[in-house]
Formats: sequence, structure tokens, C-alpha cells
Amino acid sequence: MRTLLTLIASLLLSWCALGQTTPYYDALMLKGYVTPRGFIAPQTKEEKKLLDSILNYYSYKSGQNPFLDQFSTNGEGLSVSEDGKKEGEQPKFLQLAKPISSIGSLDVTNLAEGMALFMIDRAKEELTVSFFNRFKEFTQEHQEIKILFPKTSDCLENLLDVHYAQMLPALRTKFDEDLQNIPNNMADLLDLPQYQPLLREFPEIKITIQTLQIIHQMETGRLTPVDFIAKLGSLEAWNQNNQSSDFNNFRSAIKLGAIFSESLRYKDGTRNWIRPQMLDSLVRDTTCSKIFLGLLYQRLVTENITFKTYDNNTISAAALLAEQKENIDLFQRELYRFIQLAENVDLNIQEIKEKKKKSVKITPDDYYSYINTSLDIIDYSVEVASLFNPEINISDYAYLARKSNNLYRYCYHKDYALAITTTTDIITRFETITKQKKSDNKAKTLLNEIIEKGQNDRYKDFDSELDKNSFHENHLLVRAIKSDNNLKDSTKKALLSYIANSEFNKLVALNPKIITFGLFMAGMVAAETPEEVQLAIENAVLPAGSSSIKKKSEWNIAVQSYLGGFYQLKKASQENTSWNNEFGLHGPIGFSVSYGFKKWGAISGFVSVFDLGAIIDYKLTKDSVITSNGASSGTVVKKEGKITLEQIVSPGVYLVYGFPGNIPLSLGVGTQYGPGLSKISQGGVNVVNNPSWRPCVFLSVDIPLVNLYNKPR
Amino acid sequence: MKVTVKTFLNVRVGKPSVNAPCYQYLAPGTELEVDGNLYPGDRVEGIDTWLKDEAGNYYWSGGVNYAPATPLPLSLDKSEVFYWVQRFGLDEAFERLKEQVTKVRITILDTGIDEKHPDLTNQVKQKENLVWCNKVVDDNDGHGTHCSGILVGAGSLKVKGVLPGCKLNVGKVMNFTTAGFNGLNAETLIDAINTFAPISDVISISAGIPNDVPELHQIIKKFTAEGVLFVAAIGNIESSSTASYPAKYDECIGVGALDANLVLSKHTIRDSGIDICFPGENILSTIPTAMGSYGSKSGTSMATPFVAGIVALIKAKNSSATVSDIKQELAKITENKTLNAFNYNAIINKKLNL
Repeated sequence: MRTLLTLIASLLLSWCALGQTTPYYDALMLKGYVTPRGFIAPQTKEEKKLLDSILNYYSYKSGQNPFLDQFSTNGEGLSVSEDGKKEGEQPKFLQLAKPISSIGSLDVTNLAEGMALFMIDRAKEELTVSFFNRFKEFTQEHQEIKILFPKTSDCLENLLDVHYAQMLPALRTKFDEDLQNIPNNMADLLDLPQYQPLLREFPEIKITIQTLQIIHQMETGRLTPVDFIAKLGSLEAWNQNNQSSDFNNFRSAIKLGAIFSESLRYKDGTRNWIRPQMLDSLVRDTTCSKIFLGLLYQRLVTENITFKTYDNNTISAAALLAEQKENIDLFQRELYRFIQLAENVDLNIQEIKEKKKKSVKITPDDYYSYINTSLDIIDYSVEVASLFNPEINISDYAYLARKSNNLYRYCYHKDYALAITTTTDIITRFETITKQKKSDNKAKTLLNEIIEKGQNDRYKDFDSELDKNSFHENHLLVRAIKSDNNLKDSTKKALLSYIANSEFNKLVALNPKIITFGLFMAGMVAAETPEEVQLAIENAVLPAGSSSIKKKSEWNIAVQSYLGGFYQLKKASQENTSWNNEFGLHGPIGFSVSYGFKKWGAISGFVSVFDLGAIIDYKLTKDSVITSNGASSGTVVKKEGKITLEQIVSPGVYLVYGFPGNIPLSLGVGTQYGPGLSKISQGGVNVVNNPSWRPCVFLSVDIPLVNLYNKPR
Repeated sequence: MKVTVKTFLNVRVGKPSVNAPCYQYLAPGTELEVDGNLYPGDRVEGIDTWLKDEAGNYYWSGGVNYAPATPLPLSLDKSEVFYWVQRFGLDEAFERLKEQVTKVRITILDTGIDEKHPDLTNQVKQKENLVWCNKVVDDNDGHGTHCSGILVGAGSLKVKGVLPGCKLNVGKVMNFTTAGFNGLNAETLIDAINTFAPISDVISISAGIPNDVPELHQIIKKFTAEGVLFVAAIGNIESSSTASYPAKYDECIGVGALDANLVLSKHTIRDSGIDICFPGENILSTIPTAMGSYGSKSGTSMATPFVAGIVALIKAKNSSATVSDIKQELAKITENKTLNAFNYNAIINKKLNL
């Protein structure tokens, strides 16, 4: 008997040691128990014990697994044991330890240092003081920006104390470091105390932050990709009470992905998942595939993973799997897809290990490939649910997870511009989620009730105060609310949530500036020539698509220019005045005050100060002069003389309509006092000294230079 | 108990192993006093059971003869198979029909058999694994060996069955008794019947399936018409499903179990398919030597081989007996009883008088 027990124990131990706690390995083993007739029927007592242990581990119940039930039989021997139980019925076998995590960890701690060496020092004095000053003020005014770009903020503090030509290399290093660290900085940002009530209310945001932090663990080698997915599925935040169907679906999708990934885990720590060749033995054998799906099904039953459909019905993941019972091909295809992605990860890891072994320098690209392929498989895992039923809505959360993954991906590949827009996308999507929940309105109603009932005078101007308060002041307010014994707990909770929402809205409002400065930082880091540095500055000053700002805003005041053609409504009486053309090019620069109609465009009052039309005309002419032999030449005409201020001053007033959508064209009507402009032509310089008024209409490209004031809708 | 050494036999000290120390051997014909139990040990010539004496010396059981040395001591406890055999006069009927009964071809469809068990040695005639063809019929559950002991246990050591020492066909139709993943379903049963019915007069089935499968019914009808008698357990309340087929078919003799007080067993399902109830609780019978050689089991499974033995005796007396003849004969030894408004026929006081 002792020998028998030892044998059973050693079999079970070897089962554990071989890691046969994943559906893949268990399916292969159980395949060996399938009789020629197609039933699972272990032959020896030891095999029977092992089968019972496995079925117990997966909490298999007869008649409830559409896959495994195909392999069962309904006949039985008709004896009972002395205690009245069905003979041969096994007691609940001791639960085997869940797969041990943290195997096969990879040391990637040198990554951050390796990535930080990207530096060039060819920038020149094109940087403008005003731009950097604005940047500096922005970081000083907003605590959030200091957290998002900590090193840049510190560096900018001292900007005016030294010449920024000397400062620029250091500044660029800080840009690089901050941008590279954006995922972690963002996690820190959302970890601020003022957001905590919000995070409690919206665990999905918390999960996104934790996702970022876990990816960081993977990056530093403390976590393997397969453990990452498992860890993601077991976050405490999933257990937070949240009735939202979207949240539930997201939680379920993650857990489903984790189970799916776990089911194909490799037996020891030498790799994460099984090899594609190993999958052949599972996929090419329909029996084995069915057993595998049966075991997977059982895991889903045990975990009780459910999804909400669009019509708000609840459906279990197990039922979804069962619906595809006859569609074995689908699973086989998807298993291959998954393992192919997994193989990419494992190959990258192997390469890095090999390099380490041979003391070959590991480049940031090596780590990028590793993280990139890991994130691919995480993406895929999250979307496994949609294989079963494409109608399951996890869009908001899957979007967040994908964006979080992409954020890391972009940072690793130094696609900082994309990293910045992804960061703001994530913040914006948080806002969408919180708005959808309408908790803000609930808190506001509660607040109004408090004020109406006069329960506490202290919160009388609470609403308006929040907008004016700084983060620090609101933080003090949070503390005051917490310690206010006159308030009920539910009221405190609502107020804190309201403050959090308010703080969060402020953060969302910062998005445009984060994009402006973030893209500038990204451009600066990427710039390798002085021209590119200049371009980075120009992009920051004149962001593409900025003409749409005035359309989307309620009110906007900007330094504005237009470039286009005019049609003179009333021709000047004298031939030698400056405005003697009926048609022409104009380029007024001035100030505009605009009122936006969203998708219907914007109407602006524009006061011009200067007009560079003739100079631009000259530039364009110069660029298109045709030489006698037909070849183009850029230097046929040389400009002579100097342009004086009086030659470009051209005050005027216009009423301008900005076309709807993203069309950057405007139609204006008004009048302008013509400058004493040197008219330049191939024939030489002809200075006209007789300025006059010119009433005209124009159709021009709308080029806002600097937004001075913007009131969003 | 005493056994007789039949071949030169080494005395092994301390362990039932060919590697244990050996200082002497016994010559054929030597009588040896052993404690009567079988111990699992090294396998020699397919036999892995050993005997032990008071001093702790072990003897390979394949090297001794049991029966001539000493008659089987029977305690005649209600747990003993032979208690019930004697109680209902089955031993007397066997003695009377000994010659004829050896001609009755008996098959048991179950979890297999331990052919090397001292109480079942050399009794298996034909065997086949219907769960997994070309595999052995070894019993890794114990159920089949237990039922076999009740039916044909030779009594060489401990268990003497209804038809002691008779030959038996063995069809392995399930690897284990527990429903689910044991290989037993209608298809397996049909295969088994097709295989064994042509070479059987009586088939004992201590197993069942929960549903009526027309193909199974058809095959049973066919072989019943050819004179094969099917004896099957009706099922237990504890079964994961009411595995009442084939017992419920009219062509089968459905068997329920009685407790030691001859009252319908609490385990037996209440079903009109029961033709006869026989004691089936806490029956001590053979189990594979690797599991300890002997053990108690309860249920309609245990009552069934008793009844199969009775049917074989009736068939021995009347080789052309049909299933209705058998049922009539059984009716002679049973009484109609009622328990909680359930009527059943049970063997209570009458003896089989053939």
C-alpha cells in the first residue's frame, strides 16, 4: 500500500513539477486516456487518481461541459461503499497550488540607462525666449504638468538664469527622459490625492494606472509577459463593486485573456508559452483540441466569467465558448495566432539571453522588440472575448488598455509625438467614462441639497471655489471635508467625488497645452539639424489645424494672419497708388476676435496691422521665374533695397467667416489702408508712396499665430 | 491455516521479495502453517501474492497448494458469501448439479478480474477488454473481482461463491465503476454482448446505463430468443444516475438488493423492473490482491452475481430454460414484500430446491 501511495504521490508531484496545470499539458495527457472508441477512460488506479485530480482542479461537473462531456460515458458499476457513497467516488482532492508565478524572469534593468543616451548638440539660437517662458509658466502653474514632466519643469526653473543656447543640450536630455518616462509619470499623476475618490468610484481608471505600473515591472525584468497577463487578471481593483456592464465586460475580457494565456503556458521557466510545433500536437488532433477546450471551458465555469450583451443580458464566457462548440476550426486558427505572437516574445527573450550570455551589448532595440511583441500578445489576450462574440462591448476599456500598451510601445521606440497624443487620449477617455457615469450630477444634486438646507455654510460657494482653487487649496478642502464631523459619510463621499471630478476636469482642460508643449518636446528630441529644431518651434507656435480652435471654442482671441487672394471692390482713382490691382495676393497680420459655431464654422472680427502680401508675392514669383533655356532658377532676381516699417503697416478692418469643419479657409469682407509698399518685380523696385483705402473681399488660408485667449464651449 | 508446498520454495525473511534474505528452502510436499492472509510482493511467474508465517517469513503463493492442506474455515457470518449460499440452499443445489453446471457457460461483464487471485485462480476461460481492445482485463477497480468471487469464488483461501471453482468468461466493459470517464456506455455493452452472448448461457451484469437505448434492447432481445439469460443489477439510489438499463428490460432478470435482515436495501432504487431481491449489503468477497485481496461492498451489484449463480443452477437443471421459465422458477423461492408502499419479490425463507 505504501508503495502504491508513494507511486500516486510521485505521479501527482511529477504532474505539478511538469507544470501540468495548464489546459495545454493536461489536454495532451488526457489524450493518452482516450480509448479507440473515443472516450476518456483511465486504466490504472493511478491514472484514475490523476484524472480525478485534474477534473477536480478544473471543477468539472458531469453534464455541464459541452466539450469534455463528449468524452464521458454514462454507465457505471452498481455498488456503494459502506458509508453509502457511490463506490469509487473520490473525495475532493486537495486543490493543487495555482500556477506559481514569477518564473523565467528576465533581467532588463539596464534598459532605462541604455535608452537615455540619445543626445545631439546642434541646436542654435532659434529658440525664442517667449516660447520657453510660456512653457515655464505653464509648468509652474500646474502641479499636474510638474508631475508629468518633472525633469523638464526643474530644468525650466533656471532657464532665465543662463543662456538657453548653453542650456539647450541639458533641456533636451530632460525632454527625452521625461517623455520616455511618461507612462510612469502618468501613473504618478493619477495617483495624486485629489484623484483618489475618483479612482475609488471608477476602478477602471485605477486598473489602467496599475496596468502601466505592471508593464514597468515587465520592463525591469521583474515580471514575464505570461505572468503579466495573469497578474492583470487578478488585480484587486477588479473586485471593487461596480455595476457598470462595460466595466464588467472589461474585467471579464482581461480574466478570459489571462486564462487563455495561462492555458498555453510552458511547463517550466525556460520560455513563457509553448512552441508553435508543440501546438501542432494539440491543434492537428481534433480529439485533443476538444479536450483542451473542455478544460478551458471548465476554468471559465470555475471563474464564473460573465459578459453583458448590448441588450443588457448576462452571458457567461463558458456559454459563449459552448456556442462555438462545433466551430473547432475557429479555435484552432486562433490558437495558432496566439502562439505565433507568443513565439515572437519568446524569441526576443531568447535573443536577449543569448546576448547576455555572450556578453554582447544589448541595444534599446532589443528591448523594444521584446516589449513590443509582449504588448502585442497582451492586446490579443484582451480581445480574445470578441472571438466568441463580436457583439460584446468592451470598447472603452479595451481602448484604454490598448492605449496604455501603445504608450509604452511609443516611448520605447521614441515615437514621442505619438506618446504625447496617446497620453492625452487616455486622459480624455477617462473623462468620457466618468461623464458617462453621471456621478458628477449626482454629487452636484447632493451639494445643492446641502446648500439649500443650510447644513453647512462653509460649502456655500463650494462650486465656484473649486474652479478658482489651486490644486493645493483643493487638497486642503479635501482634508477639511474629511475632518468635518457635521457632514454625513454619504455627503462627504459625494463632495470628495465632486472635488475629484472637478480636479479631473481641470486636468482634461490641460490637454491642449500638454499636446502643444509635449509635441514641441518630442520634436526637439527628434530634431537632428538646426532646421529641424526651427521646425519644432514653428510647429509649437503654429500647430497644424489650429484654425479649427476658434470654430470649436465659444470665444477666441488670437494673433492672426491670412494668406490668400483679394478682389478689390472699388478700384483706386490714381494709377500710381499702391492698390491699383483688381486682383492680388495679400497677407495681413493682426488681431482677431472669433465666435465659434462648432461644425458651422466661426465668425471673426479682424483688425489688420501689417500686410506682407507684396513680399510674399515676390517670394512666390522668385520661386517660379523661368529662365530663357527653360530650366528653373531660384536666383534670377535679386531683391534690392530695404523694406521699411511704413511699407508693411496696413491697418484695416474685416468681417471674416471661417468655413466649417477642418477647412482652413476663410472668406472676409472689409477695408484696409494700403501701405507705401515697394512693389518688386523683375524689372526692378518701384516704390509707391501713395497709400490709399482698399475695400475688398478675400478668400484666404486661415493662419492663427498665437492664441491669446480661448473660452471652450 | 496449513498449505502444502508444491515446488521447491525459498523462505524469505522479512519481505515478500525475491531479494529478501533466504537461508533455507522447503521441499515439495512440506506442510506449512501460515496466517491465512495474502501479501502483495514481487511478481514471479505472474503471481505477486505471498504468504506469511508467525515468524515473519514470506512464501511465494505460487509455490503452494491450498485446498488439500485444510478445509476452508467458514465463519458463516452474514458478510460471508457462503453464509447466503448455504442459507438459501445454493450449495446443496450446486452439489446436486455439479456436473451439469460446469457445462453452463457463464459470463460476467464488469471491471475485469484479478485472474491470479487465490480464490479465482485458473477460472477465467475467455476474456476481452471491450473498453480498450487488445488491453488486459486486469481489474484496477475491484468491482469485477468482487462480483466474480461471489459467483465462482473457489474458496481456496476465503471466498467460496455460488458456483465454486466454475469457469467464467470475463468481459471488461468499464475501467472503473464511477460514472463519467470509465468507458461504459450502451455502445460498449452492445459490443460486449455481441462478443460474449454467442459463447454464454448466463450473463451477469452488475452495471448499467441510465437510458433506454433501442439498439441495446434489440440485441438483448435477439440473444434472449437464442436462449441466453441476462441477469442485471437494477441500480442504487446513490448512483449518479438511475442506471437501470438493461435491468429494466423484460428480457432481463432485474436484481435488487436486500440488507442483512432480508429487508429491501436502502440503496436499491424502487423500480418495477426488479424481478428478485437478494442480499447485497456488506458482502465480503475477493478484490485484487494489490488492493488487499478481500473487501466488503454493497449494492445491487453484489446481489446480481448471487442471482446469476441461481440462474446458472436452474439452467444446469433445465438447459432449455427460457427467461420466463427462469422467472417462474425464481418466483417459487421468493416472497412478495412491501416496504413503504413499494412491492418487491425477495428471497426470504425458501431454499432453492432443484
